[in-house]
Amino acid sequence: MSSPRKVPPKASARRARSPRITTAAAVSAGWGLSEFTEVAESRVHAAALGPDGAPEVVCVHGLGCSHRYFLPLAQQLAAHLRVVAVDLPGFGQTPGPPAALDIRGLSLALADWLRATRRARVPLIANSAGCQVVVDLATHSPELLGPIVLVGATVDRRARSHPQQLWRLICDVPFENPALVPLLARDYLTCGPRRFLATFQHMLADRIEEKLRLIRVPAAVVRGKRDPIAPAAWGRELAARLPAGRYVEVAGAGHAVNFSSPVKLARITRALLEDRMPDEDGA
Amino acid sequence: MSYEGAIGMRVKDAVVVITGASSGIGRATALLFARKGAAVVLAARREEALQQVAAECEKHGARAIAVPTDVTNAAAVEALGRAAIRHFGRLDVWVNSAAVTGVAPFLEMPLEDFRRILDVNIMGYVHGARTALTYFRSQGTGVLINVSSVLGVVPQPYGHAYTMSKHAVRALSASLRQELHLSEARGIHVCTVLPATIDTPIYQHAANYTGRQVRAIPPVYSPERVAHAIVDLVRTPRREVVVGPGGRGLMLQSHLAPALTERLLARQVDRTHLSRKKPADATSGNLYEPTPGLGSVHGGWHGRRRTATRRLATAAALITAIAVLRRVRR
Repeated sequence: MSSPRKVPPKASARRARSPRITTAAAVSAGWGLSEFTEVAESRVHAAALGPDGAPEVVCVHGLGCSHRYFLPLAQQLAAHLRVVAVDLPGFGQTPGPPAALDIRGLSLALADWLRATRRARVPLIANSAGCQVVVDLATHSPELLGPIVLVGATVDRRARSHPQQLWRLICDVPFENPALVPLLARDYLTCGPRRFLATFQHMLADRIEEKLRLIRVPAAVVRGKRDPIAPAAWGRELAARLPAGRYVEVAGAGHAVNFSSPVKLARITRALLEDRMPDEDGA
Repeated sequence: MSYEGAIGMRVKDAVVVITGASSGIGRATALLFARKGAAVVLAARREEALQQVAAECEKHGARAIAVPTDVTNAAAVEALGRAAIRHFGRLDVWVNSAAVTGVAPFLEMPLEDFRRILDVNIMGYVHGARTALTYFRSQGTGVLINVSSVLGVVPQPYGHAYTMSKHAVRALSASLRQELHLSEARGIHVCTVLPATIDTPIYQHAANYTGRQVRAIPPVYSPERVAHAIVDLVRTPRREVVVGPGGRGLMLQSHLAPALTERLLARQVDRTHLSRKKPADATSGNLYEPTPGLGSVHGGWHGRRRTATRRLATAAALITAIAVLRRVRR
């Protein structure tokens, strides 16, 4: 088997080998612990909730969001699992480089962080653009992948344009918990409009559907039945392209199932982790 | 997909994977890409040879990694693609150039050697194409370059497996182009390079059961010339490119008079490809184990010197012809 032998000296790679991980008690409202890791040329923040020593799951947020909108899901899962929600570079409390990272850049950073914190093969729950980042892991670091839950995966290949996506985002608002709006407004401001737009551009250029065949771990494609951003045809296509994919719809939910229907998503997640077939509607 | 005036990509900062980078055309191509500012991912079986090439590429200021790979192992080729992405974040160009050869009268060629040549030269390219196209499709861009040979158009006696594999490589490229055309993947290109006789160590590395030494059939061209053609294909992709006017002549000849060309080339191979003076022991060459050592671009067939001599002779002939014509006119 081959392995890369000659690596150009890279600051991030050197640091990744001996990461400095520091923790702070509950700096983010509602979460149990904040964890900071010096990797990927940044100081990556992750919020954790759940008992010490319990099996972990990692949450990966979408465009402009952060760990914060995973709190309702984390509270549902925290009885038996330790939920760790990471902030990708440039979002939430993780500083990013001046120029927005593309999907590959974000997935390389996520891979560095997973390796540094010894979270290889930990189950991943991703929402929206986070799904693109998680799927991209398969192109360079498939050994890091555990079971995957893709919630409201983007970007529907039939609507890869700014106006279409913007319209769909607006259409999604009535189906979300109203508390999501102020929360997202703050997260969007944290990341800033320039990074938001540049990342959006990178999202449109990424063809998630062409990479799904590389994912050999069990994966569930979950979408809210009312989600206009990831329509049913798109969700079914993604599940069909996954070698070990399942398709689950959550009744009444919109795009951010993790925030607006956390109970049902928690049920689906537990079913996947216990290797049971998640039922329609997560019941 | 129209290949007339197709737009490729910038070579500077492109991420290029090259198989067979330890010697010959692959090595010359890696060095040229490095000189043009590309990041190169070098693949071949010999690690020490690859390290040497990587060091030479870095001397040109390029970023280079060496990934020891046997192209017949599909998983190893997938790992090669992942190594490129992990180190350089992208994959823009994939050059399939790892190939082996062997000569023997048909019934005397061991069947497993025959199979091994097809495995390296065909399945090695298939594995490369699968990995490359996975990434190209997810990006929407990329150039796949398959090194075939003029023997992929005109056959050669004794080297059945090699000439069959080179025909197959042309067919693979064409079939992939058709599929990409149907899926309207306009940013992805598949090109075939058809070199004539090139001054590389492949002749010394060949499996040989003829009892006669293998030699390069003149006219011989330099591997750097093929490397230039490959770099040009990245900038302006074309379906097929012949390298060496001798090869172009042979192709034209085979179009005009296929039966005659077949017979003439058979005679030429018998007379010049296989030495009539120097005997050789039976060997499986580098089919199963790579030739030890640090590898080289050239095979000692003086491609450059021979090209220079040919050019000089052509110039001299032209001058003489003009002088003669002038005298006759007076």
